Amino acid sequence: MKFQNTVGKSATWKLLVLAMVAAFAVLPAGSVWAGPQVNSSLSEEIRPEGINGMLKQTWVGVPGNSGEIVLPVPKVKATIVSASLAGGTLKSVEPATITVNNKKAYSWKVEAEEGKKVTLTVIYQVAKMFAPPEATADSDSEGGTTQRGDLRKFEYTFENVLPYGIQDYSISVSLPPSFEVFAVQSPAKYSLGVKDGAPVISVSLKGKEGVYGLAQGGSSTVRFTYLQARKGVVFVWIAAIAIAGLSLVRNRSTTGIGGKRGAKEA
Amino acid sequence: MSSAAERAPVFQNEGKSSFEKFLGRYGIAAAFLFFALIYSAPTAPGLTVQGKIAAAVFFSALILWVSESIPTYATALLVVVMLAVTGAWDEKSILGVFGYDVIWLMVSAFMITSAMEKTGVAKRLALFLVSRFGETAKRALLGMIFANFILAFIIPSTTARAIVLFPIAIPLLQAYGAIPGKSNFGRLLMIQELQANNIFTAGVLTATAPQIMAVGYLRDLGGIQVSWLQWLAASMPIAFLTMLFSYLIGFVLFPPEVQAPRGEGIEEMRKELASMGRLTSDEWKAIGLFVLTVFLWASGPYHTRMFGLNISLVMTAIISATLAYLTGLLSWKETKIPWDLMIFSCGAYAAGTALEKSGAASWALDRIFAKVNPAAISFPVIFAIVIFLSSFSHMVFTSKTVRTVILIPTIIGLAKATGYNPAALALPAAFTIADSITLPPNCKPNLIFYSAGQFTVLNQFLYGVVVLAAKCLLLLVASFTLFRWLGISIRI
Repeated sequence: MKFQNTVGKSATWKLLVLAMVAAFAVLPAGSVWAGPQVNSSLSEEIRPEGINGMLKQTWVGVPGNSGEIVLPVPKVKATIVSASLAGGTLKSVEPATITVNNKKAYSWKVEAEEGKKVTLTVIYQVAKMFAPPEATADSDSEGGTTQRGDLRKFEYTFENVLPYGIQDYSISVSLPPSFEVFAVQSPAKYSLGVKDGAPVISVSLKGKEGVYGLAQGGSSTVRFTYLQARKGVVFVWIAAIAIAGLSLVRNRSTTGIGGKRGAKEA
Repeated sequence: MSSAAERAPVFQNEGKSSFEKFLGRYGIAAAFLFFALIYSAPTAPGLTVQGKIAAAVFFSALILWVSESIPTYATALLVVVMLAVTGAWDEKSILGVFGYDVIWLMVSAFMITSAMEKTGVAKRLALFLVSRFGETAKRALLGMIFANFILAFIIPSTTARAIVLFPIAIPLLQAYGAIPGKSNFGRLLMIQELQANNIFTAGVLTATAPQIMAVGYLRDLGGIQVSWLQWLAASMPIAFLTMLFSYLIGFVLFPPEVQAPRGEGIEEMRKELASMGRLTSDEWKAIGLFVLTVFLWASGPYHTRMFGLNISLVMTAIISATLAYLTGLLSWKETKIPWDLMIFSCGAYAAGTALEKSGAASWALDRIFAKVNPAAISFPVIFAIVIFLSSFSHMVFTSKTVRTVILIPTIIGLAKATGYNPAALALPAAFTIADSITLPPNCKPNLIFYSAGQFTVLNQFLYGVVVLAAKCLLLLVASFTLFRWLGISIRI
């Protein structure tokens, strides 16, 4: 009995030590143990630059205790073009890549007055964000479904992987000037407008007292289709005039246009 | 019930007024040119291209349905094609409309009606009603309106009430020799039935679920409690006067060509009724089926308590139709289902739903309310705008629930922002939720009565607009009289 107890204790200690070693091995070296970073607002602006997209993130808040600002890594293939800080000093434009809740995040080291709000602006370039879709086979063996062939798809998701919620989150996506939004699949509430002659779709998730606009772990997806403005208008008019003309000729006996059929019936 | 071939051959002009002929001639040209105009117009700020195209398809279809330049079912098929190829709605959703409960409900309703007709019980009931109360056309019409009034208190569904009264109306048409599309009596009977169905619904809070929802909004968002009796006191007088107006104006719009039942009149009817003898076993079965159906519809709110499960409106109709076949009351060959009407319903629902789903309908409403500056205009004007919009909104929003969800909270918000009593604006607006009387696809009862082929879309539209205009006027008058007497003040 005694012997067995000794072995049991020894085994428990071994297991505990092993678990601790395993935990340190699994956690990446750059892990952040969340500090009280305050995310007052995050606004994202996406605009086209040729076929690429420019993503501008403007974060307003209070950096964490260790002088860090942590933002999620965009879920699109994006490269950082620039980063700047208002209200403090940015130690490096290039952020460190860390892991928060098993998701990748960027961490910028900043110097700022403790507890004071700063504004971090990061600009990314997103390759082929507005590129025309690659040509695919016309349809499957059963003919596929009836659908327009001139629609382009846009989808962007922001996921709040930070340990805290974001009070106000907003995103606006500008389209190339000659394009317009065809249909919006997500979110249900959005607004459409025009900025600098280009159509813009905007989404705003404003928080209330005690309620984050975008809670921790929450996400916002903007998904829509767009197309070249006024495409196919000439064809529609030709078809409409042809059908209208034919219908008037077909009914000429009663429209007063006259003709053989009208004369016969008269 | 008439078949499609009997009703509307392409470019039919027979029996139409010169105005209807004019519409028929130019309808196709007008519809397609209108479509091209909207399609090519710049997309308005805040609206998607899909919304713009959905509106173009919807209003072009409306032109075709009202003008009847082509048969209504052909327009419906055109709508299905146009929505799919323009991307106004996706193909899967469009085709899925055929599986909507409204289609199943109508198919089942026609099965029940076929059984009632085949057994002769519907004819017997109509003969009884006509010989007893329908000595004149005016009394027959009044009797059917009264039946609608009574049923509004018993059956909490507009569609169920329509299905109950439709089999009674059909033999009544036959008794008065109403030829589809030619008889003004037929037009009056069928249009007044659908109008009475919708208008009396507004008088009774529990006659349709969206009205209960509207009262919920008033309580939660406006802080106003409205009881069943308060609703009845405020709305039923309006409904009653509107229906009285409808009844009287009907004789001006469509003077009935018959004053008494066909043949030797009422005596012949009485003899025919007497010659039918006692009720046959099939008639008893049909009555049993009818009573069971009405019972299930009327007891809807208590199903779970009574049976441990809830049976929906559509499932009740399917159960009744199934029983009609299982009991040998009806065979498939004897079933008369107007498939042209089903196609029409699918197209109409698809057009309306595409308009809603694309956001075009709510965009239009938002724009209108955004343009209105309530602070700068007097109460009668804002009241008139609100009532007009809520009353005629059924032309674009086919669902009463959607209309309630979109309109009532908006109107409560508008009232609160301008210092008006929410009850003074939103409650009268709630009284118009059931006013779906201008077009056949506005609601299920309209489609059911339209299926008899007695009236055109234009007939219903003109009659409906006149009656709704009168109701709006009555509501405006009531806002200074009846509503005030009932304690609904304009200001909080």
